[in-house]
Amino acid sequence: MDLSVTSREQGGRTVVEVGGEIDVYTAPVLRERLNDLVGEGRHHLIIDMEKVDFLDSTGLGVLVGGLKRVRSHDGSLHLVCTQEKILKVFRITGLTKVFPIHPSVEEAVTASSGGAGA
Amino acid sequence: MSASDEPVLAHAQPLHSTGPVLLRFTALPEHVRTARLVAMAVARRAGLGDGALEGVRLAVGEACGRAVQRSESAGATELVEVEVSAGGRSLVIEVRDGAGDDGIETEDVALLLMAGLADDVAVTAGPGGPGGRTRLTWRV
Repeated sequence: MDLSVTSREQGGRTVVEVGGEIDVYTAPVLRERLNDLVGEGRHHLIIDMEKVDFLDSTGLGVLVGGLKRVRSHDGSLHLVCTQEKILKVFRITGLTKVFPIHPSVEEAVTASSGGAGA
Repeated sequence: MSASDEPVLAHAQPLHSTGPVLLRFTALPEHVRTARLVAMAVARRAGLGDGALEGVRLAVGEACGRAVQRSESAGATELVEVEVSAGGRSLVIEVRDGAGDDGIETEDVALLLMAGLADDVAVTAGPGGPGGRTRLTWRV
C-alpha cells in the first residue's frame, strides 16, 4: 500500500498515524482524512509520522492546510517525527518554525494539552 | 592540505559512467513514484552515496510532480520525460514536460526543495514553452 492513515484517541487528542509515502499521488487521501476528522469536530490533532517513508511538497501542503483548518476552530496540530530524512524536508522549507515537532506521541500529547512535562 | 577552493567532497570516488536512461510517462500523479524509483536506481548504480540518494529521490519527485501538475493544468497531453546520466564527477537528471508557461500553487516550495537537495537546479524552456525543463545536478 502506498499510504496508510489510521486514527485513535489518546489523552483527549486525536492521534493520526500515517505510514508509507505522502506524495503528489497519495496526498489527496491524507487531505480527505484530515478534513473528515476536523468535520467530525476533532480539532486537536497529533500526526504521527514515524512510519512515513517519503514526504514531498504536496504532502507539506496538506499538513499546512490541516493546520489552517484546525486553527480556524481554535484547534492545534502537532507532529511526531524523529526521522532525519523527513525532518530535513521541514527544515529546507522553513516549516520547522510553523509546526511543533515532537520525538514521541506522549510528548506531543503533553505539549498539545498545554502541560509543562518533558 | 590541498587547495581550499576544492569542492568539499573532491576526495570522493568518481561516479561510474552510466546512462543515459530515459523514462517517458503519461502525465499522471501515480507515475511519479515510478520515476523516483528509476532515478534512484540509476544514481545508486553510478555509486552516489546513501545521503545524496535520498535527495535524488525527493528532488526528482518534486521535478516530476511539478511536470505533471503543469501538464494537467495546461491540458498538455505530451509524455513527461526523465533523463538520467552519470559519469565522472556529476549525476544529471533532466525532467521535461510539454506544458507552456503556467504557474502552479506548490511550485515555489518544490523549487525550494530541489534547490536544497541538488547541487544545482536550472529551470529553462521545455518543448512546450517556458519552465518546462528542470535540470538537476549532483557533484561528487
